[in-house]
Amino acid sequence: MTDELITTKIFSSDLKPLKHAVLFKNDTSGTSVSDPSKILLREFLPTGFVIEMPIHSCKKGHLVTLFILEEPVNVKFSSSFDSETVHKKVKNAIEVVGKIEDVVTNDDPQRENVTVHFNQYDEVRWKELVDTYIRIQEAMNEFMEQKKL
Amino acid sequence: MTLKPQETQQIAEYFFGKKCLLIDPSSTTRLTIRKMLTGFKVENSDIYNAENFKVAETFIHEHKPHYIFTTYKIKEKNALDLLPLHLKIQPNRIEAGFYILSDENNISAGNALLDNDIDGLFTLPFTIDALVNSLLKSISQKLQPTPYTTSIEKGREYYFLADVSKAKVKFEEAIKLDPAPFSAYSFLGTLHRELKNIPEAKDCFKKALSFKDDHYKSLRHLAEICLELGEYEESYQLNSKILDNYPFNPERIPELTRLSITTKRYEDILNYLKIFTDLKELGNELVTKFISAGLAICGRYLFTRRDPPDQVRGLDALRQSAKLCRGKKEILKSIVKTLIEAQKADEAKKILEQYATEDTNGNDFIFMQIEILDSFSKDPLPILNLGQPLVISKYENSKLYEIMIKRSIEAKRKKAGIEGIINQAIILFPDEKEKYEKILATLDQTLT
Repeated sequence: MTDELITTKIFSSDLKPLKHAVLFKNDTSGTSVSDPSKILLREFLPTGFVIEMPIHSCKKGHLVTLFILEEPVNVKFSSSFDSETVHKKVKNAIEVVGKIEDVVTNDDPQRENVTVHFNQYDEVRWKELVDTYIRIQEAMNEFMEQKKL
Repeated sequence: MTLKPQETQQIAEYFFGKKCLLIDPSSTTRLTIRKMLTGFKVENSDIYNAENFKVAETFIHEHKPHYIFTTYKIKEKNALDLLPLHLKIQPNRIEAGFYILSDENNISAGNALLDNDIDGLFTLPFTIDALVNSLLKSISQKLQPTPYTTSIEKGREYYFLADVSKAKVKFEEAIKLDPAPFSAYSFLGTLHRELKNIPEAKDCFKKALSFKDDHYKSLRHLAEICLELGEYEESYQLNSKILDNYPFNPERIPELTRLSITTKRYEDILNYLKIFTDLKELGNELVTKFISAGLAICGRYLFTRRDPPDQVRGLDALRQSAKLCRGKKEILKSIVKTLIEAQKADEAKKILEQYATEDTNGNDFIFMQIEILDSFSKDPLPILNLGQPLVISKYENSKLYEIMIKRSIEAKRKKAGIEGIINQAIILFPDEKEKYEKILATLDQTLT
């Protein structure tokens, strides 16, 4: 038995989710998605990712520049944002240049699932980011282990 | 994860002929899960999609899928609401599984895994390797079940089919099949608890913990049983042990704060105020709801202490609680009650005016106004005007009738009207018949 207070064992960090937002610039069409809340990061690929985003943002083969930002993002961007502005406004933004590999319809008619393949990116930072998410899954797996009979 | 050919073969054999249902209203994850499953040799034609809760529910009834992979939220519904149906339709969990895909990737999300009969939780965004790895880990005991796990799973199968006596036999059988049968004892304890055999249940959970002292389910059940039995210190210690090993579950804020108050851990209450402030910043809607309830409990405790600094802290906590509760009736009611009891009707009035929302409207809201007015107003008429529609609608709160009778006498209302209120109170609260009949008998005298 212990005299320790239970409140010394409650950590608000346990409830803090890890989330990243994406800023999307279509270099082929000259358009952009500057509101990061409109893009959801769904799956990591070895050199790319799958994102869910508003329709008509891009087509297969388009060249794009993306900025991955750690949430919460408390700054706003104009639709004509550029690399310098992003890095100035947000620390540690990960910039990648890629090509749209696939665009698949979503059940929500206003959204599309877009696969981006990266051509230029910082491999170390990308791996670090993916590993952070893998560690969360591993923590969940540990709870799963606890349920073993 | 690289698998040996023999393992790949074993997994393919396991998944052969199994039907899988993918539920994801946004469709994003379906392609990857399908890819993973076909990699395990599940036939493409055995993998089905459901885009909403209703379609999924009908599909489970009609096609009895073995495996379900679903997003946590299915539009406005919660995927966990499909779990009881799946457990009933596919009670043999060696051959079935239920997996949740969740955007909530904080450590506390793990509580969904610990507290429910689900097999795994995949956090988004994921990598296919991590997904495959998790699924394989979760099915490892199902691929080659030992006599012990088979016996337990058979017991669970009977349990899901509500055949308690057969379930009990299987769990008891399992106890003899393993040198550390903590799961068998824990399931047996759960069964006893449901049958209200509390001493037996307690004994089983204690035995489970003697083999594995951090076994989550046994700790949770035992902590709850102790709380129900009024063994507060024991329950506190068990909850402490849970928090040593597992993440904090915000849903338990009201229960834990009450436990700290009951066991007179004053410092806990002050710590909670700090924790709630940190948690509030997360802006999570569900967490906010529990913080509001926790603040109301802490506020009530501090506010009723005689120490002036505590009263200031308590009042502040009550105000914060009201601000966060989004007009939730139960919480506002508790705050108003605390303030009225402490003769702070003006503060109660302010809180009600400021934080009541359309959710608070209705009879409860009107009754709170009546209670506030009654605590300071000398004029009976506004109270009677507010209360009359509640009496007509047969609002079931004896305090309302007490106030209405008292204020009607003060206002010298007609005898027949007052008798009507008293008679209605007798019908609604037969346990208090004697009290009301006494008032009725002396009414003539009181009115003169």
